[in-house]
Order: sequence, then structure tokens, then C-alpha cells
Amino acid sequence: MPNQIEVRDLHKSVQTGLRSRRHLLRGVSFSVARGVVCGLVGHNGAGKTTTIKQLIGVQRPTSGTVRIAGLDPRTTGARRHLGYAAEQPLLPPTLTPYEILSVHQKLSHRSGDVDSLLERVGLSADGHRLIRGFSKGMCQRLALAISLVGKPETLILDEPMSGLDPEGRALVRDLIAQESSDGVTVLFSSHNLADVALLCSQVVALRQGKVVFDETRAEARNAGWVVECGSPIPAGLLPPPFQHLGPMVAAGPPEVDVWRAAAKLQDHSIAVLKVAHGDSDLERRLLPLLRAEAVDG
Amino acid sequence: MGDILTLAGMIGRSWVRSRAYLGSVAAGVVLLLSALALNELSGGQEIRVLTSLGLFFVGTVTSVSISWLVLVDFSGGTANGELLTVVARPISRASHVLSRALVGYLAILASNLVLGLLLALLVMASGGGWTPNILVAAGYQSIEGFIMVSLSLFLASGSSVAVSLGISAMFYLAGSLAGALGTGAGLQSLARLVPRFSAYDLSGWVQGLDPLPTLQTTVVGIAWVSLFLAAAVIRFEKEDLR
Repeated sequence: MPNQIEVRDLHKSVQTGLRSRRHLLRGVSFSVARGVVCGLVGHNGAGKTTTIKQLIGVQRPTSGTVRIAGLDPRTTGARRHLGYAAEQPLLPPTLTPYEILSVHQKLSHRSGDVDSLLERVGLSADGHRLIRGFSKGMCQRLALAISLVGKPETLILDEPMSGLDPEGRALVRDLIAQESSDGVTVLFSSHNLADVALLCSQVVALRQGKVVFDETRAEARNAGWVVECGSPIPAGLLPPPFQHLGPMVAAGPPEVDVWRAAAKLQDHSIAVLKVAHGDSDLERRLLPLLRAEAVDG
Repeated sequence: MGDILTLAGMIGRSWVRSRAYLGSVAAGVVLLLSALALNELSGGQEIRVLTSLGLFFVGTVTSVSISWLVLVDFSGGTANGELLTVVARPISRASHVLSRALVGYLAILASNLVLGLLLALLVMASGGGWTPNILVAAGYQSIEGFIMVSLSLFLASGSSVAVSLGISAMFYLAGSLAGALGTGAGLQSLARLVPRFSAYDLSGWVQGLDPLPTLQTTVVGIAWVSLFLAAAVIRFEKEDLR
């Protein structure tokens, strides 16, 4: 399958003083195949938003290449394929959603139905109200509607679910799933690993401007098993290839007979709380990788 | 061109609804009324004071308020990320600068003509008769505002609001004083680095004291506008947006 998003050896540094530079990205490389939903995760300052800004072409990389559908995102040709929603979107307060969507419709040079976009994000009743009176969640929904203008082939969403109520989060999840089923490539950043695990068929994790994890779901399924217990697992009870991830957690490769191991634990009066595939335990696998000091100066 | 008009329509609508633009026109009206009050106090000077002061107020209030409005709108939009969503659309960055320039120029021209009309009516009410040349003078004075709007776009395309406002204020002051600077070589050289805003004040011509400005004065004004606008486009093309 051809890649819709290609990022190769991306570096970005900014000047912070006369002689000092801050390195925000240090050789980020990953690719996202067409139609895939990719989650971009990492702590604050890991480089998620900086990566996204290179992807939408509003910043110039210090070195490295970015391609959207094979094109440089700084060209207008590439941005024809692109929809973008910013984290904490600031929208002109004295315009209405209907007006701002109509403007974006014209700027995208494609035809479309503004009413159906408003309906998709649950803002039909507020289409002609000034944005000035909107809550943060409503602005977030409107930003999503803006990103969908022109039926883009690639959607780049910067923390689309932050600040949303449970209903809003569900709406965004449904929207991403629906776009993906229509063949749209979606890349979104998030701090919520549960959302990422639920929606994404690829996860890219950044730490200090570097990719520390890039896995597709197919690979994740081969990540093996995780067994979580209610009390500490005695040493030697689960011999290699099992590994102890913590006093009450062990992990093994996909070929181990995990159910036999679980039965053995129960025979020793150790309650087995959870037996899961590695990919369903994304948080446990990612957290040690993401744990790091703040980005250096 | 379609993109520029679409963006200009959005910006213009936003300005009108936020009442920022109307506020600047209202400030002009207040200043003109104060010119009328000063005229009453001037005794024998009468219409001459009202015309000179009125045109000076018209030029100053529109140049300063609208160029600062352009500056704060553009620089603020870049700093707070409001522009990101629009910049990510398949349009050139030059369109963003040119659409703002278009809105700024039209706003200045409209303000100057409205305030010029009000001034002409005040002159008539003060017994000076109907003087349509005041409208011509107010329209011509727009060149000063065009220069300031273009400078604001250049500053806002890459600098913070505070820095841009500071530089723009100093530039305006220097441009306003350029004609009054002394005859020393140093001061004359300094005066050449900024446009002479007094050259676009036609109050002397309205009163039959001065001739019409030469074509060269107009061309120099347009050259300043073009220079700053081109620099703004180039700077914004290269700018990393936050």
C-alpha cells in the first residue's frame, strides 16, 4: 500500500539566543499508509505539535523531508489533500460557523455542503450564531468540521479530543472511524492512550524529539501476552520466556501457553486479574518508553 | 485573486462586527468636532484653521488607527495560532498579506472620504461655502495611510505585536516630522530614510496657497507602499508559524 504520509530524518531546531539553539526534532522518521489511522503520542514537549506543523507545511524543517501524497506540504498542491484541526483552535469570534465554513470551502477550491458538515459535528442548531459565545468544546467541534472541508485525503488533527466532554469525545472517535472507513488517512496526536488504542492501526511515540515507538496493529498483535495479578508473582513461578514487568505483572511472547500459566498462578492462590494481548496494553508498554526528562535546551 | 477577495471579505466582516473599524471612524469624528471647537476659539483665522486642523486630524487618525488595527489583527493571529487553520489551506501565503492590505487600503480610503465629507460639511456650516476640494485632499491623504498599513504588514509578518507597535509608532513620528527636520546634512539624510507624510497634506492647496503635488510625490508614495508590501510578502513566505 502506498504511503500517504512520509517523514524522513526530520530535524527542527529554533534559535533561543545569540549562540544557542533548541532542538525540537532529532531525526524523526515514520510513514503512514493510505487509509490508516495513526496515533502520535508523547509527553508535553516531545515534539508532537512541531511534527504536525511540519506536516501541514506551516513550518520549514531544519533538515529532512516531509511528503503528503508524495508532495511537499509547503506547496499548495499538497495542501489540497490535507485537512487540519489545531489544538485549542482560535477562530474569528465575530463570524458564524456557517460563514467560516463557507470561507474554507472557497479556499479549498472544492464544492461541498456546509450544512452536512455542521450536522456531522453536532452544530446544526448553532450554525448562524457568532463563535464569540461558543464553549471550548464547540470550537473544537467546529475546528473538526473545518478540517473536513473539501473532503481531504489526509486529516491531521492536533489533540482533537482535548477539552471535550464524553459525548464530544465519542463524536470525534466516530468521526475519525468513519473517515478511516472512507479511505481517509488520519494522523492525530493525543495524550489519551485509551483513545489511541481504540482508534489507531498505527502508533508512533515521540520522546525528546525522537521516535521511540512505531508499531502497526499487526505488529502489536505479535507483541505477546501480558498477565496481571492481584498479588506478587513468586520468582521462578513463571519461568522464561516470561519476563517480570513488575511485581504483579509478567509478559510473554505470542507463542507461550498463557492460559496454562494463568492456571498455574491460580493453583498457587494468586488471583489473575487480567490476561491481555500486548497491543491492548498499550499504556503499559508505552509508558516506560515515554518516561524521560524534559526536552533539553 | 479569488482567494484574496475571499479572505478580504472574511477580514472586513470581522472588523466591522468587532466594531474596531467603526471605533476608528468615531475617533475621527470626535477629532473633527474638536477641530471645530478650536476653530471657534481662533477668532479671525476661522475656516483656515478648521480646514488645516481637520485634514491633519483625518490623516492622522485613519493612518494610525487602521494601520495599528491591521498590525494587531495580523500579528495577533499569527502569534495565537488563529491563522494556522487558514494557512493550511491550498492558498499562497502572499494571498494572506495581500488580502489584509486590500482591507486596510479600502478601510483607509473609506474613512478618509467619510471624514473628508464631514469636514466639508463643517466648513460649509461655518460659512466657508461648499469646498469639494476637501474631499480630494482627504482622498489623496490616504497615501500616508497606505504606507503605514504596508509597513504594519511587514512588521506583523514576523515580529511580535509589542515590537511592531513600537517600530511603527517611531516610523510614523519620524515620517510626520521629516519635513520639519533642520537643514543639517545629518538630519536631511535621516529625513530621506522615511517618507515625508507632510507631502500628502493638501490643506494648502485647498486654501489656494500651494500648487497641487507633483506626480513625483505620488509616485514616491506608491513606491513606499510597494516596497513595504513586497517585503511583507517575502517575509511572511519564509516565516515559521507558531
